[in-house]
Amino acid sequence: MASREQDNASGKAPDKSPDKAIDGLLRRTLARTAPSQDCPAPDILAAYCDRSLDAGETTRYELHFSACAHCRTQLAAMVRAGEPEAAEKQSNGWGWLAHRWWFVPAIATAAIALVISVRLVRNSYEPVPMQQVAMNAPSPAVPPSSEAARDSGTSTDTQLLDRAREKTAPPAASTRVPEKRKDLRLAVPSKGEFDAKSPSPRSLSKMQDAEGTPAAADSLTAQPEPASSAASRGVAPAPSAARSSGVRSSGAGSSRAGATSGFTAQNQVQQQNQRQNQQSNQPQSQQQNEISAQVQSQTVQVEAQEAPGEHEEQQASSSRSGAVGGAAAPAPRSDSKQVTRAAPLYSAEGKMVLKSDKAAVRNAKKSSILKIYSSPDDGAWWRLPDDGYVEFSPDAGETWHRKLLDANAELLTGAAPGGRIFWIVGREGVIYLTTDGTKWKKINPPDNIDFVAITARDARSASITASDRRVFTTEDGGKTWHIATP
Amino acid sequence: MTSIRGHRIVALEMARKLLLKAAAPPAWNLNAEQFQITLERSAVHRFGAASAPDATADAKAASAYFESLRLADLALACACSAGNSAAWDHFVAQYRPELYRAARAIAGESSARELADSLYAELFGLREKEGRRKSLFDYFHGRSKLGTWLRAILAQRHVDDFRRARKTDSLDDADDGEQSNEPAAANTAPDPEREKYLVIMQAALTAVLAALAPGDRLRLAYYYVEELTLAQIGKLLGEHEATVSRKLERTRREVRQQVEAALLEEKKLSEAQMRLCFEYAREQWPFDLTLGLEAGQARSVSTRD
Repeated sequence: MASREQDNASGKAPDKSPDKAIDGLLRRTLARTAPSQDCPAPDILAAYCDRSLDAGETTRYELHFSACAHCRTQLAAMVRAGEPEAAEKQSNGWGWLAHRWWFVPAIATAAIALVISVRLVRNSYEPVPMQQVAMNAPSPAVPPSSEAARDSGTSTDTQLLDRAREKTAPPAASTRVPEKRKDLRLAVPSKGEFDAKSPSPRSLSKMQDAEGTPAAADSLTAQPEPASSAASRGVAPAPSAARSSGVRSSGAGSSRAGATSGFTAQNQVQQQNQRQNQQSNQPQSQQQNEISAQVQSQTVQVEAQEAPGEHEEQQASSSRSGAVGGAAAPAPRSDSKQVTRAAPLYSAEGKMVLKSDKAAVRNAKKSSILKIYSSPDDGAWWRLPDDGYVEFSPDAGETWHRKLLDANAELLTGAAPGGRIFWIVGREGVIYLTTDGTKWKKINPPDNIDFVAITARDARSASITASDRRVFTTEDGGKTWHIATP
Repeated sequence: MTSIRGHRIVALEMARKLLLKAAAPPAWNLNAEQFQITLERSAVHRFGAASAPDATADAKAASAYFESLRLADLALACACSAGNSAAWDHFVAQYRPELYRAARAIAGESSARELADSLYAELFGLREKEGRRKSLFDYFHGRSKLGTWLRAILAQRHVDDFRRARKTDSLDDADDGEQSNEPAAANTAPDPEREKYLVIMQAALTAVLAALAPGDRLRLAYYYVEELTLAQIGKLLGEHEATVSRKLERTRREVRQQVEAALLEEKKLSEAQMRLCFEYAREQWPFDLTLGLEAGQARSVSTRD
């Protein structure tokens, strides 16, 4: 909900007039409520503010307050007067100096953040010299968490696509790709209900730190796909048609020309990265580790001008964690270069604040809507179609069962580590777990905060990322959580 | 006070136990009998004299209620009311800064001192009733923190003073000056149908608001009328800030949809007429349709375009 300030500042578009009218009407009409004669005493108002009334009393008095401007005004004055920061501002303007103990760590933190941000900004915003190439930036020196994610349920996109790749990709193509390229995405023609939806913004906003990740050149790969497969996009090959029906897979096809240019681009990026690496005199692995630690999921998509009539799409996505890396939708065809940044959990500036956190939550939400989470060793699929709902398919998408977990919950993403185990996290400390696909257990969260990513190995071991970048892990199915700062 | 209905609501033993739990300093000279009376007054205030839980008949209910009280604060209020100087000194040292701070936040810098000092006088018990010093502390029943109760008293007095000073029915008229900054383009080209549209619009909105759940209506009022922040609303309603935002947005969307539906289906307006309603409502700000509503002038506009 936009704030009043935002409403006042930005609600000027013509189609906002009804909204503005409604806002004004609401303000006026609600203010017109006449004071009641039987207003509760101050001790009741105080108990209401302290949440000390029982449920029946709360309901009864809220009914009164909803119709009594007099009581509402008192409550508003009370809650304003109870704000501690207001007291500090008004009572002693220099009172903050009394708490100088935080100065040293704060300045040290700011200095570290500045150094990291300068380095990352320098690395991240180098122009991408490529055209017609989709790249990803996995690193050989993958942090343990990333490895865990790769092996865990959040990599279900990868596993699903790996299966699809095995079935759809010709032997020639598969032999040209090293086995270790687990994060490569191959085009899986998608159809079904998800095709009707708009492409995932996250999938369309891939980010690649081509200049900043020298080691990325090693993994820069354009997965070639036969022209016949690319040409027949939208018609799935028979073996994979059933499984890919309705699946928004994390990849897209590539044309032969695209593949060729992709390899050319790879070489160019390699050379450029090597030059930059030499200039910086920084060990490759060290820099890679920094990038890996700071940027959880970043890919880039560059769509360049193609020959007329040969608009072929090519994209690859990297989702080392797999949890918030949204399942990619077929990219809209574009003749213009498009380099957009996905919302990272860890900003390049190193000072992720509320605004950025909201972006992470928003992107996680958008991704979850379009995403299917499949069990790696079972035909169980899940998806999170709407607020509070989860849909479960025990037969790989043939049939879906919809279940409302909590109408007030916003489910952001999930992880299917195996079997019929599925973890879901969401806003305001929402964590759910099922071990059989149907019976859900609400897990006590470590904090009442938005969780934007999850990786899981099984029903007991999981790692969740909060919007403030804290990472919590559990080894006992969510009974206890331990914080692990990335 | 020996009893409320001829028998004790609070047994002396329970009062002694609760006093022990309150951890009142010995310097306050608070005895179990005094605390027993305070507890009984609290129970009667909560349940009423007729239905207050009996110490013997319904010991569990009585115990649950008394255990839920802020006993330390209640003991302090009880000792202050009894005129104990040590307790009063403790109260002044503990709550004076908070009281002045709250007064400044509620009444502003200029009136804060006067507001807080008047409260001090009543708390100390300058008034006498039937030869007995009457302290405002007697009205504290321990159901909230003492600081919150003091803020409630301050807020009540300030709002009452404000209303008396304004000699108006509603404090909310104070917003009129700000709201009148909205464009009033209507005056330049008066539409004979304008007033009718506005009356219809207001009537539809009033009906929709009346049908809202109390919680939704309260949330809207906190936001639009009291202009509280989402965090403050969440604090009052016991909801997360994001939940408040989401529910506000949902309610506003529903209100608009229902108003539009009422205009189109019940009032039989056309799309163009409905847009005019919104436009007039936005332009002519503020408009007072109360009289129109009271006169029952909400009548449907007949034909569609």
